Amino acid sequence: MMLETPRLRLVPLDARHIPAYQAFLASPRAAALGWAAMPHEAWRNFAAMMGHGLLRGFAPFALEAREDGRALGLCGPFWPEGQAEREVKWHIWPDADEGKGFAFEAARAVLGHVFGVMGWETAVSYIAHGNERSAALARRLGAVQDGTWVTPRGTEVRVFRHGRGVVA
Amino acid sequence: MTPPVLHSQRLTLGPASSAHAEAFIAFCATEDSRFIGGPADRRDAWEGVAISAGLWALRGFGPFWLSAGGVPVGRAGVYYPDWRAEPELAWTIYPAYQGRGYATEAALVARDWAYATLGLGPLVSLIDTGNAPSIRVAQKLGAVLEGPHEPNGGHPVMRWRHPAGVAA
Repeated sequence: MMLETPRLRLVPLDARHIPAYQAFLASPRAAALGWAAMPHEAWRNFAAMMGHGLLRGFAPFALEAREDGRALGLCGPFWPEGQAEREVKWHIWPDADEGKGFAFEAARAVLGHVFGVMGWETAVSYIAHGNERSAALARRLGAVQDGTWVTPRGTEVRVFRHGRGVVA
Repeated sequence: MTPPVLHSQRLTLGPASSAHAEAFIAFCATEDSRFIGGPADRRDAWEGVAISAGLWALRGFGPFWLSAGGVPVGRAGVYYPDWRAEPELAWTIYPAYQGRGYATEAALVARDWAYATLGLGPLVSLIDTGNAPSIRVAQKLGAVLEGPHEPNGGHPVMRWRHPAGVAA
């Protein structure tokens, strides 16, 4: 399963994407979002996301730049046990690739896929208080804030609900 | 990759399923899971199942999930996440199914598969000194005590080394 956009290839998560993911979780940007993780913790999260795909039949895609194949981040459907609703999530990993519209481009393709191909009736994105960059992207995608959700770890996050018709 | 399906005399060794996930989640909710880092809540236990599936995708091997007559009874196989120095032969049988030789039966099949198919071995098993049933399994498998390992949350842990060749 693979999706393509003008600048991106959305491909299954693979071991070759792990170093960029580990670098992201070691970055000040991840620390500011409360996501800082040691390389082995990042590896563990990555294994869990790959296993999510095997258990659920879907998982976030890795984003690769069509121009040179570099790993840019991830975007895709995510619904681990204990999470209230089916989510579309996104991260851009390298600092240098933030602010270029890659997450918007990927999320539009993914929303079209989850609604148009996977048959989801609704989708949310959980966004931390203070993560205004992601909140702005959710709004730009047509999502509206629909209350909050407290994770099993006790963290309150904002729920942004995507509209079926907006991007299909 | 996903696990092959192997058979021992009484057990099927295969990939994770939702029935296996539910049985593991129930096990992790109890104090009986202390030797594998439990108790753990539903979310973390499911993530453990996802990681086990992700290990197969990343390493090409991992834990098999065990069924007896179609009923989940535990898991056994080679556990080798990124942060471990070497692959471990590990087994867990849920309390209701202990005392029947299932762990020995499954670990033997998993070990011989790992030796023959992956070229691994001699494998190690890391066993809490308080886990008498598991120590008996290691002894039945012909493993020898090699020395102390890093403690697991304050519990002393010993390193057991399995025989190099396939047992007669």
